[in-house]
Amino acid sequence: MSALASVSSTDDAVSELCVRSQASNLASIAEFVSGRARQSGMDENTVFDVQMAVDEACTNIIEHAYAGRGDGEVRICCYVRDADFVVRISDDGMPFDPDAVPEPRIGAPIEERDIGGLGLFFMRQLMDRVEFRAGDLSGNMVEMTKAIRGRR
Amino acid sequence: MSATYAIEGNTLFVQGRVDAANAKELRAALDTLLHLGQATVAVDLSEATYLSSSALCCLLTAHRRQMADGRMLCLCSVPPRILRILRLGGFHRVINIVADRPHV
Repeated sequence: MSALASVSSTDDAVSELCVRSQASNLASIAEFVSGRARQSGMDENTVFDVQMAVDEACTNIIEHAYAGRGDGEVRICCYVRDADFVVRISDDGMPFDPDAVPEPRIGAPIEERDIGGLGLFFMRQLMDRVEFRAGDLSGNMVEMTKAIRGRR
Repeated sequence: MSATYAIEGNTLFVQGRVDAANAKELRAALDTLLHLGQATVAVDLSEATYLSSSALCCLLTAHRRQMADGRMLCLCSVPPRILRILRLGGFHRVINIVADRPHV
């Protein structure tokens, strides 16, 4: 994890991780989100799904919003809202328009670029709700929620 | 937390987590596997804990290269969680997924 990495809890319910926009931080992000999701009472399959959706979202930020620049910030915030686990991810990179991303075509016979948009596709499939908000000049925010099933 | 690779015969064994940070190592391992020139190659995922879309793209590209050469690539011993992701993405309709390692 980079020197910037910090985990903070403002209260019992909200935790935030802030890391540099480097792919080498993806494993730490996964660990952080899995831990919080598990604490919320989710079963392991659902924890896996949330972890993957967050991994794909952060990969998109690192590769597209920051275009590979490693000195940006990626902020991941997790909390429980009613019966939902909420993850909010924000950055200061280039505004991203999710509607401009084509649906992936797995069966298409040509090149790798035909399967672009796969990360976004998985985010939407794995989470119950995915909502994007682009900043006016820079930065993006995505909020994803997943029902915590089996919660006592 | 990262991944390790081993090739035995016609099979590449993937162990651990493959995400955008280390997918190029998977790509390199698949290149080595394909260069063996075997008619059928397998990727054993029994010890894989996570494959991101970057890793899935590497597998799909390797599959397409094998097909283009009139050869075959299959995935075997896929853990249930990863299998579910493959199905969700429609990969099971394109790449051969088998329960056990194919014999050569």
